[in-house]
Amino acid sequence: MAKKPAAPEAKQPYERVDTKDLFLDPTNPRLAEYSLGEEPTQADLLRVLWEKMAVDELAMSIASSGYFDHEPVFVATEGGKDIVIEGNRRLAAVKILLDDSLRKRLKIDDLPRISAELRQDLQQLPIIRTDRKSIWQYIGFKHVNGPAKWGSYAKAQYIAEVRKNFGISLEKIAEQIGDRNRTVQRLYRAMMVIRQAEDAKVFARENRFKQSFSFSHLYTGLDYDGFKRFLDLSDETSESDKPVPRPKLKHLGELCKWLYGDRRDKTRPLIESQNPDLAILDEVLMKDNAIDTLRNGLPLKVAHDVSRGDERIFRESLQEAKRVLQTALGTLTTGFKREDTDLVRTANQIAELVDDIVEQMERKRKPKRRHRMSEDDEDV
Amino acid sequence: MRHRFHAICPYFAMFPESFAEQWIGELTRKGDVVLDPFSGRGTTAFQAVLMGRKPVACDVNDVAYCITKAKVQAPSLTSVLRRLTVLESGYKKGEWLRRARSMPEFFHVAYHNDTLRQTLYLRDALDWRKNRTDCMLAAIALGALHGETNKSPSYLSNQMPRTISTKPAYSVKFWRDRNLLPPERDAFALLRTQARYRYESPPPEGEATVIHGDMRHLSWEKDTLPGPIRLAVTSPPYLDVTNFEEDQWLRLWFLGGPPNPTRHRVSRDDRYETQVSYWSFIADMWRMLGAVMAKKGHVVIRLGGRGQEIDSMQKKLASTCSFSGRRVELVSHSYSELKKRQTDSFQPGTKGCLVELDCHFQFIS
Ligand SMILES: C[S@@+](CC[C@H](N)C(=O)[O-])C[C@H]1O[C@@H](n2cnc3c(N)ncnc32)[C@H](O)[C@@H]1O
Repeated sequence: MAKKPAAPEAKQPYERVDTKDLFLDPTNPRLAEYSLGEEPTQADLLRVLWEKMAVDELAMSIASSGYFDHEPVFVATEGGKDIVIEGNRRLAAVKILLDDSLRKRLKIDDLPRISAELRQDLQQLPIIRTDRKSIWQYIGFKHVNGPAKWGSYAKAQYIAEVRKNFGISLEKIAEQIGDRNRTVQRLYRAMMVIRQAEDAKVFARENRFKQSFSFSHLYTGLDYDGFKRFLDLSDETSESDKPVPRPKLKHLGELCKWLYGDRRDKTRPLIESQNPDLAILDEVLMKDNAIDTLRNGLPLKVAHDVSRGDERIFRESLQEAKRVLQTALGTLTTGFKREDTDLVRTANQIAELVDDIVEQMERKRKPKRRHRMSEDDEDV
Repeated sequence: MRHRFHAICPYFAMFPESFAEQWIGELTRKGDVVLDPFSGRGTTAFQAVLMGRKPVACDVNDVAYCITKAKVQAPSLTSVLRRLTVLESGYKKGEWLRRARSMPEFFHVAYHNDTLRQTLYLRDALDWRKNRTDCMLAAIALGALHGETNKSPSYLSNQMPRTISTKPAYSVKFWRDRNLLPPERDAFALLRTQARYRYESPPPEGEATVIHGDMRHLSWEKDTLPGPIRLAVTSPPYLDVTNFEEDQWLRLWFLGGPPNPTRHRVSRDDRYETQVSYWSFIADMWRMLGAVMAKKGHVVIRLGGRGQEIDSMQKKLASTCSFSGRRVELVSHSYSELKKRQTDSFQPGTKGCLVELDCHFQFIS
């Protein structure tokens, strides 16, 4: 264990404040996706931080190495309280280490007990007093674009807050945090789209089918042509807080249901994994008849078949079969055992299928060929 | 009176002939071609023959093919009885001892020793694929192969359901637990009685096309069909309800298959287990129908499903018709709850009330 300085207050440049007087930040962007309601309690915040944000790793590290005094948390005084606006995970870890009853309440039993010395040391934490407006660039750089990236929903939440609270344009935000890929604009647009859906009551995050909220499906999808077409979406540079035109709000509701499902009627999302499902959905959204197929409740694959059309399906299926069969051929020597008779049967079935296909293709070709020959004859 | 051929052999998820009769009567005239791409026991095809239509039937399953063909291309009773006599005189009990002994345990508890030997002999001797008379005899034998022996003397087996073949281990345990012994039946006599009974309705005039294979091939065989198809009355396999191969294993065995349940042997795909594979399969059905149906042709489809899902099945079915590549209109649809009698023919243990959906489509062009 790293030896703590005997008299920290003498050596450290930072102000120290009693841990018990520090509060977790209820507006922490990372909490936004967990629907904590209007006024979450400190206990609510602690629970989510503990359950969703790997606070345990941090607590283990502090328990064994102590708290690094050169990592102060940033504190803003709001409504008479000292609120930690950067360093919430650290604060949560320390509070949990200090408070046995809290551990019991959160059912945490795999953390080591800490020494009396460390307990004493953690009673106070080094802080930097500031306000949100002064450090937004720092937080943005660190978590949106930099070393400790948040999830996309937290990032978007953060960008939206900075824009709203401090009146800073998206372009300025992007510039300040060193974003070169329009990430800021795209995140913001996706956030506005979700808010539009929720305001119009065509979607509610808490009704989604899966536990976690995959904001990145929407965020990524909105860059695709099919999505843009389906929602008649405005350009990401517009900074509009209503990117989807009113008449398309119904479509937006449908799209959210396809992306996130609905637990109320047990509808599963169409996107099981972003790759390749999102791109497939994009292709479907390019064609109206394929969209109708989805509306009628058919699986994504079937709608995709509608949008691809049989000529493409046939061509691509044959090409894929060839590719896969070549892999099989390549691994036969090492991969096939003589007792695998089921595979012999499968191979024979494949041979039969291929025979059928070749035979029918030949049959379809013949009349045409004859036709062409007679045309040639005329040319002579 | 109901034609006695209808019930030669029961089949899983079959529809009643009245269903086929109603639609054939309403939508076709004498001489029209009527298709059932999933023929099962051949209800549509046989009803169509009875009504002077020209049926085309197709099924991948040997059992379905055999029963359908027997009904719609029936030999005369005289030739059936004559063939039985010839078969019986060629049977030498002693020659079948070793074969009988080599059969798995199931067969020894399912059949009396003498019955088993006769059955093995018939299985070998009947050339059901090529010969009409043998096909009829095989179909009658299939109908007699297993059933509720405690209620009727017309089954060869120990106590079993008639619609599906129960799994070997389950059946053996069932019989052992209840001390049930196989009945002593003379297969030749039983077939003779059954044949006479079935032929109390005379076989109808008229011919039919029966295709043994995957319905997808029908579009390629268009030139060999008797004409443009006016009406298809059919019921594709139901989503997740049964596996026609596993549940028919004993009858499939009698027609030359292995002495145990199998999967993926009869049909090259077994696509009815997930939503994706099921609806892709239905899409293929529409592709085929788009190729073979006459202008303004009608398609009547019966699907089964559980309770609330049925409404969404109707939408999905109607939506897949675009795969036909032609314009298709849903003319009408209706639901009916399955009655007790029919529920029996579904696998024991399936949950939720089964509902049937009937959809009537018409090709616009
Ligand atoms: C619900 S049953 C039809 C029952 C029939 N309506 C009757 O009354 O007996 C469905 C049938 O489709 C057949 N089948 C499944 N896949 C097939 C395919 N690809 N081509 C042709 N027949 C198929 C099964 O073997 C089964 O007999």
